[in-house]
Amino acid sequence: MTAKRNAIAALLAIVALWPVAHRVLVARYGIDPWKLGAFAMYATPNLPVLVAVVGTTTSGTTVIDEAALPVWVRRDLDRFRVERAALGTLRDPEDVGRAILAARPDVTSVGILIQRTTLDPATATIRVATPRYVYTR
Amino acid sequence: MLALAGDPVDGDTGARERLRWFRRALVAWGVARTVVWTTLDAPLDPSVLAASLALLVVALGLAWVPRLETLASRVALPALLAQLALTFPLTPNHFFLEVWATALLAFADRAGAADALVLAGLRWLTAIVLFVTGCQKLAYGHYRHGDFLAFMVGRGDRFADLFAWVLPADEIARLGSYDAFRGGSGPYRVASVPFVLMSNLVWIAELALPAGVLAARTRTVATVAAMAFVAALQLGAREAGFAFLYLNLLALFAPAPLAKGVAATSLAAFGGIVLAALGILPGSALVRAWHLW
Repeated sequence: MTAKRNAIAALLAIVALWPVAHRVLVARYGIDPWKLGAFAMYATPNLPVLVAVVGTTTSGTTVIDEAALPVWVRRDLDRFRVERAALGTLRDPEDVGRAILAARPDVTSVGILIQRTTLDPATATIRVATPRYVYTR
Repeated sequence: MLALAGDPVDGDTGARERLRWFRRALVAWGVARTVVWTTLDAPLDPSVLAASLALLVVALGLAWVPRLETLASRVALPALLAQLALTFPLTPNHFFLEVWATALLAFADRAGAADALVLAGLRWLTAIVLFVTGCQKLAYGHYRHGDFLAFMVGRGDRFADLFAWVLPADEIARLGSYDAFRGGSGPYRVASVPFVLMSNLVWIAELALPAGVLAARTRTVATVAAMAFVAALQLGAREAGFAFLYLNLLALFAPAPLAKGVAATSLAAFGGIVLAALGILPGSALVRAWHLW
């Protein structure tokens, strides 16, 4: 019975303490407050994380037509969108950037642009962060 | 600490009866939720979903056989863990609550020796989760001035119907005019005192009610208040999944007849949800709109 009591106490400790670690991860890496079981849903708005892909050719930089990418690259990109929204900067886009670069031999570099939108608690206004990742051959 | 959530009036038989009905409702919820998942256009592996559904159906059957009922959660737990792996990292929080509760129930044994301990564990889980939601609202800082609810009203999103009625029409129009994707939009802040008061009452209730349900003297009143609070809030959020789970967890603190009534009502509702999801009853659109996944 002592073993069961200890196991139950440990489980409850995880439920109680994980949200503290989760809050640190949200602040440090921008993980989704609404996900990963820390019960912070409805504590802050959860706007979609937007991801766009651009490619540079000899004639300039344009948005890459995702529909024209091979199906496995599109699948990876869709998966990246989901994981990036949930895991923040813990999910690096390098593998997806390299896959797009390999699928588009005509481009010399691929840029992945991400827009994460939050509500600033001090001013109650929208704050936008737009990190950009560039991968070259 | 665990004993604080105990209930000497219940005795061993009382604890077993409470766990029995909670287990039935919890596993039935797992079945209903999984059936809903199979009807959605979610990118979930259908073979894993089907296998986990089969396990959950077996668990539901076991939950209704008193001699085998404690096996139900042990059978359900691997199915839920497979679903957790399948949905990660988009797994909804009410699913984590379902997993934690199932894991706690798995400690119950046929002899009933751990029933009181498991019941205390489930009650602590209930109190901790409600307290954590209040702490998170404080930590993110969007409730003190009502910013989060003002944002939701502006977006016409969940909670808008529940809280917008205290705001003047021009305030609602102002909040709705902001582009939520443009930096500097806002402020999502209103001058309405009743609105800000309601916003603050949310986190205050979430911090105070757990203490109320744990203390034996205030348990019944706090449990009824918490049930009303959670039902109202989850109606506003259109979160049927969290509402069903959490009301059944709160029912573990309630007088036994009320607890059994909550479980029985939930079981009937889950039956309706399954039939609606499968298109046998009308309401499949409603099932999708109420965040059951």
